Amino acid sequence: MIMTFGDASAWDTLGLGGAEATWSEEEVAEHFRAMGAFYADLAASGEMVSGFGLADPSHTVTVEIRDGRPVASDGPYAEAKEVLAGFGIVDVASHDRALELAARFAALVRTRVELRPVMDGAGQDR
Amino acid sequence: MDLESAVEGLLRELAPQTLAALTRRYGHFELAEDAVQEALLAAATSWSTGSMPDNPAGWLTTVATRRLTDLLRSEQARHRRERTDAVRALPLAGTPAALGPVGEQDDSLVLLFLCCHPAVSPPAQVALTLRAVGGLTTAEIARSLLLPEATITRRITRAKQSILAAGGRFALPEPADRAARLDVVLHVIYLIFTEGHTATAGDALVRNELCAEAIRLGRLLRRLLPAEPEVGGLLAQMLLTDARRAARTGPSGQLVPLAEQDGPLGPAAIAEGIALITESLGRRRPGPYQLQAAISAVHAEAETYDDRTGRRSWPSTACSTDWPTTRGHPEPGGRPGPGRGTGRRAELVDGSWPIPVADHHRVHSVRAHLLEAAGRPGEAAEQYRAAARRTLSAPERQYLLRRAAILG
Repeated sequence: MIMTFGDASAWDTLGLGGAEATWSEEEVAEHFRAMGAFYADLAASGEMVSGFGLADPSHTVTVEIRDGRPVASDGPYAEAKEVLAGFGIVDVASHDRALELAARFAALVRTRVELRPVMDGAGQDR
Repeated sequence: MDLESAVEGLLRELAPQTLAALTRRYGHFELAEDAVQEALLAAATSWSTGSMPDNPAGWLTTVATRRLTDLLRSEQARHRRERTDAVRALPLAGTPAALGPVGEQDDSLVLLFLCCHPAVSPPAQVALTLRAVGGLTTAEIARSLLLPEATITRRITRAKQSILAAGGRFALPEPADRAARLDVVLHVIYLIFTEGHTATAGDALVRNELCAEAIRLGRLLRRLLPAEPEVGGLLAQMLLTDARRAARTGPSGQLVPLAEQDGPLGPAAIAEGIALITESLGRRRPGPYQLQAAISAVHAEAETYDDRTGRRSWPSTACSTDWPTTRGHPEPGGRPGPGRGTGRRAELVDGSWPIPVADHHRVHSVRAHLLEAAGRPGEAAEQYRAAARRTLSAPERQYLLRRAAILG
């Protein structure tokens, strides 16, 4: 699993936050074209499992159990420096290949990414 | 049609779809409703100058979503400043989702049920429905209800707070509550219609835009629930009443009562209304709206408008006064038909009325008509004057005083 991170301004650059995009129309279009091409490559090689970008962090809701009852509250708030912005799950032959893909991902989203193995059904890393 | 009204028509159609899409995806109905309203205003300004986007629905959703995100950000910033933690309880047991997947049904119905939530007062239900489902701006609602814009804003805000506090969810009502909740929806639509049809205040008797909006909402509901006979009954009643619109006011805007209405009726609306009520009655689940529409249909169908004399001949509509079912039901447009049914009339004149409506001007007005028909002119004049003192509508007051003066 490759996870990307960003602060609230990351959504604003693409117009996915609370205002119009701060990037130009061409920049935004180019970004989505490049992401699309990356996903298409992964689909073609059979390595793509799934991947999503997440909505602006202001839409986050925390759900927890208090006094035995489920309650919801808005947040944690968008001022957090780095929040999960999106993720892609790939099924690859080796750890090296996963690192290679994570590097391409980082270049595309222009932020730091994290790579973590997904546990298999028996509870062991693969 | 000019560009401005084309844009307005499109926006009114897209308004409930956009709000439903946002609420389905992000929750926060109360903020989403504000966000959509702002997006509609932005669209009205920019589209009317000719810069229509290729995908208007997508444009509206994008702009409304940005506004919602912005509203959420400022709301959360406020919570941080005030160090408040707005915790809301979630339902314990997993109730089966009455809301189907996207595209399976029209979400406008869910919105209608939500705006007509029983926790909300009828005037607030009307304001919220006109804005959230009808796509009218606050200013337009204020103008058509003859109220200050601030009053409408307050009503809408309070309506949304009440829905939130009552735990209203973006879902169809449970089957057990369905009939009662539908009654509220029908009542709200009929309130909008009657407010337009016989304005409760002001100088104009009829405010066409409210009638048109109520009929539009009635058509929407009919499309969503084609098998509900009371929905058909309500739409038929509105169409048949509206068909009489041109005949109801005289050259100077004065009220013309049913028995003196001479102008031609709207034939298309009458044909549609009669077809609707015939079909609805065929489902054999009668109700107050079907009954009222049936009476209106009898009047409309049997009337023969004579082009040479310019007058109509009136059928006997004894059924309208012999049929006791309308008693106790909110029937703001109700009035006695020019027919027989005298025994029933005497009982209505002298009988007691439900307390909440006993002093309403329409009660005095109905009593006055019945007393006049029963040959008791003195008492009738007294009741006409009592009604005139209570109504806030200038044309109604003039009509009532004229009747009283004729009787002496």
